[in-house]
Amino acid sequence: MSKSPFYSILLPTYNERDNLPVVVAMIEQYLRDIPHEIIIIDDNSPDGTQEVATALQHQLGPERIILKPRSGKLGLGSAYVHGSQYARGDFLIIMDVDLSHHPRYIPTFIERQREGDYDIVTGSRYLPGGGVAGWNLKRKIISCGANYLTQLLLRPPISDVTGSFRLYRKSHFDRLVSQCTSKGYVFQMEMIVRAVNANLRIAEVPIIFVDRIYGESKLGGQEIVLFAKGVLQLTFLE
Amino acid sequence: MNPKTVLPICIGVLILWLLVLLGLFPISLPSVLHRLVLTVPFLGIVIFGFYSLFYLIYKVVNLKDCPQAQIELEREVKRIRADPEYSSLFRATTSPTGR
Repeated sequence: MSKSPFYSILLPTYNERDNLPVVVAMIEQYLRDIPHEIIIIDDNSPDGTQEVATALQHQLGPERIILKPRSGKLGLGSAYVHGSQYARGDFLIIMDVDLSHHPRYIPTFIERQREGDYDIVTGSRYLPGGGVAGWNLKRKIISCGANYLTQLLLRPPISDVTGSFRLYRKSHFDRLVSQCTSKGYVFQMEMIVRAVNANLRIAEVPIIFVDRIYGESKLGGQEIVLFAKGVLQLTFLE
Repeated sequence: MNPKTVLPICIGVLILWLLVLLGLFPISLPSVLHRLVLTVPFLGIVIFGFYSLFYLIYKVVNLKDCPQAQIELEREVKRIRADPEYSSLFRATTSPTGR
């Protein structure tokens, strides 16, 4: 490899004014020697996340921090599409900004990608070395049940298809995301299903997911039904 | 073992099974075999049910719980906020009232 690849980290944000500087500082620390840029896509957060992002850009420079805000909460998939348009990297890294995804894993993703020239590297909570923090038994059962359903119906080459901590080769990412029609967890799965159909090379690394949202669970009965419906639709994709 | 190919096979087998159940199957089966054919789907469902249950229990038990990760994260957040190298990031992004 004559030229070192450039990495674009996409950070879609909504009400993350406290976590954003921490995430950016951690990225700077762990990617000290790796050429990268951070693209912050704020969906007009009422808590002033965009001001924080602007201040970060003043500190680190417009080459390192790129701001591409949007007018409102327009969804994660479209945030990625929007950010990717301006990304100069050969590879994109997508992650959550609430510190459930730790930036210390990013070099691991990069290393893994290099090992096998993979097109996608995805973080898995189920691999040995991975795990979760802050989940009660009910949450674990729901997650494992959902995972079982996806393994049964989709037969993916990876153990964790709903994760959103991933590295993508940019060229493939743009093509895949333009084909996707679903949202939320199902979107993350649809990307993998389409990638498998396109014979892309996919690898995974263990990650520990730290749940920072205490109390209210995001998984109500309706969400579960929608998820199951999404998996069924993906089973018969194309 | 693609679900897209498994589904037509399952439907085909189900139709054959219904024919046997309704006595419409062209070949008459000896009564032992007949009874066996009728119970096989229910056996299949029960076996699948147990397999799913054990798989789920196995998965839940093996999903590693890392409470230490949460503690370490809080520690690291404190540490990086106090780190002189990144202090400019936190100074600039803290509101005047302080957080």
